Amino acid sequence: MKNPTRPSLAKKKTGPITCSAMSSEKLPLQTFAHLISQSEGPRIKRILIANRGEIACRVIETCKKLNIISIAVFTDQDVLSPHVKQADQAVKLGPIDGPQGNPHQNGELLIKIAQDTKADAVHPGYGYLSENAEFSRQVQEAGLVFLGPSPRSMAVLGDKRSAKQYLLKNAPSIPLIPGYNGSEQNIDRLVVEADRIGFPVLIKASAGGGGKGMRIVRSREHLASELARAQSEAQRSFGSSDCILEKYIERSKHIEVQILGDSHGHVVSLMDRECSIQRRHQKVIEEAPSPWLSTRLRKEMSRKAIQIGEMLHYESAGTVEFIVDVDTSKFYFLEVNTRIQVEHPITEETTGVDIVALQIFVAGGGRFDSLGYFQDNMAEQVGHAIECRLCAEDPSRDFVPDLGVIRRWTPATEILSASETQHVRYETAVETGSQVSIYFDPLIAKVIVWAPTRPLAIAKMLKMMSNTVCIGIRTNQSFLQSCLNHPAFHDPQYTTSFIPDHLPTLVRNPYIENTEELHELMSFIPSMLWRTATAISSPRRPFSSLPLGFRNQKADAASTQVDIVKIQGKVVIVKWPVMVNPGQAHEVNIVPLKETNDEKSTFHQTKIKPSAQVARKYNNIISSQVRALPKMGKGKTHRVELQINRNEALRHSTRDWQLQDVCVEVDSQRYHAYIASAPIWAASDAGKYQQVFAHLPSLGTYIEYQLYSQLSFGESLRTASGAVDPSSDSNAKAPMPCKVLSVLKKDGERVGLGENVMVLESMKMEMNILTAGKGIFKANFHTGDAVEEGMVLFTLS
Amino acid sequence: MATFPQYPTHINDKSPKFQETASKWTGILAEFARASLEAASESTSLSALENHTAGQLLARDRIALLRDPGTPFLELCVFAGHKLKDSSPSASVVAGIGVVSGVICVLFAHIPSLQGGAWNEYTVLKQNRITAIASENNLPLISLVQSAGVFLPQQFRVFHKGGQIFRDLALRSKNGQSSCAVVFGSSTAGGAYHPALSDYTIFVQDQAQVFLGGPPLVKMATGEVTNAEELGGADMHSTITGLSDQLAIDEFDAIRKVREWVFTTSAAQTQLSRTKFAREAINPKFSIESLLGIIDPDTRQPLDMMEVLLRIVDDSRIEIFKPAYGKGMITGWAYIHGHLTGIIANQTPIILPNEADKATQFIRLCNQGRNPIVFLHNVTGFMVGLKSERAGLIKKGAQLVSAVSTSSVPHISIICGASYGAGNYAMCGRAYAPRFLFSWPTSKCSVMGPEQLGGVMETITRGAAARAGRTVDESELGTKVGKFSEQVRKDSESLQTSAHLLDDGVIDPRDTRDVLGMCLEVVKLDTIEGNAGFRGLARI
Repeated sequence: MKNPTRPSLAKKKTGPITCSAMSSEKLPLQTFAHLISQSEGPRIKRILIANRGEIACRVIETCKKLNIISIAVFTDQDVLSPHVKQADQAVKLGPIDGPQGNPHQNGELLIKIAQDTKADAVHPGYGYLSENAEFSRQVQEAGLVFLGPSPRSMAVLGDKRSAKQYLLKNAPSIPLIPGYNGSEQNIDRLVVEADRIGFPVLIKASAGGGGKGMRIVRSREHLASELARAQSEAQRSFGSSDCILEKYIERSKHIEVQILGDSHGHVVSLMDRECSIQRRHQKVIEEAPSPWLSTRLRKEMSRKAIQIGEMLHYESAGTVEFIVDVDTSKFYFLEVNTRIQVEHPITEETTGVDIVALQIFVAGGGRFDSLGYFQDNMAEQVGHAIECRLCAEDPSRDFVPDLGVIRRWTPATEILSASETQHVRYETAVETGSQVSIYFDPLIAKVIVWAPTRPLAIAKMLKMMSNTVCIGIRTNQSFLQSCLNHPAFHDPQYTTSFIPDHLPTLVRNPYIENTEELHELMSFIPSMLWRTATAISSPRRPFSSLPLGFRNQKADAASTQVDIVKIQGKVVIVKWPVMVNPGQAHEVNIVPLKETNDEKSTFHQTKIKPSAQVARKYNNIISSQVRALPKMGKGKTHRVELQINRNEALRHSTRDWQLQDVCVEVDSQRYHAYIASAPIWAASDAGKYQQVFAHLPSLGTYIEYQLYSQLSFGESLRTASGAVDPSSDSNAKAPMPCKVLSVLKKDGERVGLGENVMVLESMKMEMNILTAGKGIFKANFHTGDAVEEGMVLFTLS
Repeated sequence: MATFPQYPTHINDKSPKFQETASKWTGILAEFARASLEAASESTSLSALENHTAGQLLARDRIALLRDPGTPFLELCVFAGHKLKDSSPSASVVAGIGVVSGVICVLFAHIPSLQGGAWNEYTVLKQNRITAIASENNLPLISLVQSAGVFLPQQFRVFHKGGQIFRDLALRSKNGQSSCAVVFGSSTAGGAYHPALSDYTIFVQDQAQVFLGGPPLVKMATGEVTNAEELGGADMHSTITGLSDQLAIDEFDAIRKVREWVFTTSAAQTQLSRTKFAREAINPKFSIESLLGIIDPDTRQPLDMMEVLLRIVDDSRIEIFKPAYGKGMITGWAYIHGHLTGIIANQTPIILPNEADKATQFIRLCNQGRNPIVFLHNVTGFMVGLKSERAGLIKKGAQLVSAVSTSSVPHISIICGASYGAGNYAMCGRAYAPRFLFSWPTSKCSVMGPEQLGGVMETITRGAAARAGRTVDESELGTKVGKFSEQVRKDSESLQTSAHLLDDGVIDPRDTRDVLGMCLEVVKLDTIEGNAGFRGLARI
């Protein structure tokens, strides 16, 4: 069926065009509960979920729908995690880095727990042991049902190379990427092979990986010289000069087909998903159906996927991945994933089936032919679904994962109205206060939307992403919105090089050119929230009914105490008039701080005592500017108002954080902001600040503010001027969750100031820990230990 | 909740009279702002300022850093020394009532960028007054010390009054009232006794220097050659003499340490655990801004105190005592910022016998009810003439002056208009030791109005001439009387009286409610005890 509202971009190129069944009515999600209870095979009443995180929650949800008892497992790191709370039963696994290694990888232990808890079946989720044929076998041998394919299917398909060899031998009709990986390496033979494959070709080191020694050759005459270089590079890097050739697909798409097999030899296709939006070869945005495939090609790919499944009597859920050449409309087999996949929900949304329920259905002996749901073994796709993977990572730093505490998690479903969030799914296992640790994958949440058409789905996803509050760690939230907003994404021909091609644009804010300006403008928010909190606090406070900041000597410019707000290293002075009621509109001075050049030179004048340096710096950058500020009502001010719509103090989280939903008006412009603020006493230590995060839907992400009083800001200047902070003890604390790589000093050893005593690793970053004092060293951790943020690494006595 | 009756206003803020009166204030307020700016000045030359800020914080910044952010600050004796040739802006001292670590304290800081923070006569008078306020109201006293000591050219005028500083500190300590001295710079000779007599001291490293005599004096006296740091540096006093209780690494650290010290004072224990005897404050029904249309800057014009009160007290509600008796004096109770207080205000500037009786009785009532009393002055004196003398107004006046003197509830005076002669005494003028006394910029305070005094002088001169049989040189007399009246007028100006510390500051009338709110909260920190001798409340 042709889509009449298909975007015109798709017409630019002749060739394959989009085709999906279009309907404005979404298919309801079916679990086939009535059939599951009637199936002839083993009755599954209790399921052990050998996984964690969002997929564990996902499986639990279906269990609930089917009245099946769910049994979760959890490590010490997951004690407070939602899957533990949501499951009917939960079993503790001990520490994640115990002597036996990660217990999620310990098949024997998991099977024993399954038996102890009288589970009938084990759901492996994805990752961990989900594609481990040995585990699947052991589960079956223990008399339990494994909710996944047979050990044989896994063994054959699990490895890319063996899968390809199997298909080459048994199913020559499945297209594989043309290539040569023979041992004969002379140039003549390779030229012949390259001609057979067809230019352009890719030369790869046989032993290699990570792109090293990879070269693209576009024509025959360059092959010899490029090969020579590739071979010598391979020799240097891997000790073997052997190279392989592969067809290079200039413009490719990653499209996959969801299949499901029952125990009676039926394999059905739940059709395609497109997963071409990838960074570092990992998917971040997926959609179903692929906006680019023609009906013919779509069906052809499903048929090939079904063929592979039938050949192996494939049972349960699997995904056949293909590379599609946009220029030739040819597709090539890539691999089969023998598990449920991260992006399965978009298929569920468009085909109306609960894939986890079907896994349970077939494991119980259910027959697909009894469902009457498939035509030609294929499901009908209705509408369009998109999934975004919200990850803890920094797109501006090559997507390096980030760690820390999620200070606030509020999905758009809790912010927007029910009608706006219809057909929206949040698959997540995080909540406010969750820790993103080194142990688990950086996926925070999957956001899935369904809409009748692709443009509507994109618009809906943008709205959901911008109204998702995920505060406290760096994420790809803004990046995802930039992708969705990018014109190239709206063209169905986009390829797997979308992200690398457009990276510089994608790391910019999707909505606002000059974010710095907005960051500064909004810096009154933490200050005003603080003043509001002060104003409404205990009536026992001295002079509680007096206007905030009242003073009788109004000509004393210094007595107007300002707030100092830092935003990404930039410093802003926020000055208020006398406030009778902080809830009312006020004129505010927001003054970005100018650091005088004079400072840099004086800091190197060692003859100035440290105490004098700090005072001098304060005078230069704060005092003089505060005194020079125009009187209220004169100069450039902003008229601002802040209304608190929701205020919640968090008692259950790691610390007492404050969550607020506010509406602010700045110079007649209204903004919504979702706030998470650290407890104010966190700022009461010398030189410390209050951390205040504000998520602005109009920015699509949050801003981190650091709120200082004048005193604490003055103290914070000490570090900048090299003076010793009296509050810093010589006991170094871990700056973030990390692992100890090495301890460079022995216990009892005498160490001096500034010596490197420990090396830590957090993710892939190494950090040297220097002493802040001198004394006798004693380590609290040893090489290989995992350390929580804030723990004391060593003591000096 | 039961409450006092609310009164309507009779002021029409659209009327030409109102507008005209309000417009007269423009120039006065501009002049007041100029004077305030001068008073806030922290140096007389740019180079002195630059010299100081190259390595030290300014006094007013020290105070701002010390105070809890966003809390009010009642600066005291703002105009001490104002425009006096022997003094300096703020008399080289910033002082006031502020909140530190949640505790109401008296803050005091030398202004070292003004003549090295040296004490002139008014510095000492101001310090003595500030200390008295701290002691009377049982507030901790935090002194940010950095002073060159006595301004030598004035040593004669400073020396004797200055001695009181140390006696006061000793007595405070004896009375369990905490004092802390934070030494930011030099504090030598007499000044050395300031930290030494404080309960607690914090010395800033590399800055504080405390000794009886500096190196030059030592060399002169004994020939010993030494340097300031080893003679009396912060390190020395922290490690050897123990004069310093805390060594701060810099000024910020010192300020943090004094903020921490506040928690340990007895005032903190009582203040932080107190129940505030205040109801929820309700703003007056009528805008305080409109005071400017009500108060004619010419003090000879009538001032409707009832209208003033309606703009000062909570929700414009007052319980009037004896509304139909002695109507020239308003007496009554009201809440200001939630604090119940008695109020005595001159509705007409002349005190008549009934007015005197009524006020006396009201003072006794407030003593029995343990209510503080706010006096709003607009008084030219007691009525003279046959009728009032024969009515025994002297006796009645004496009763009133006696009641004001012996009343033991806190008094707060605001000089709104005139405050002359015995009227000033009866309304609790400076000599009657109100806890706080503030003036409006247009107010006048002297023994009599300048015209009257001039007139009296003229009459006496003519009388003397007549008795001696001399003819009066009219032009000479005119000049003499004119000069005298002018001098009296100048001396009665609020900024002038304030410069001489005859009040605790001149305030914008529109700040009256907030200033009173702060003062009332301060005086109510301690339990108020009335004069037990007033308890027999027979009719007067």
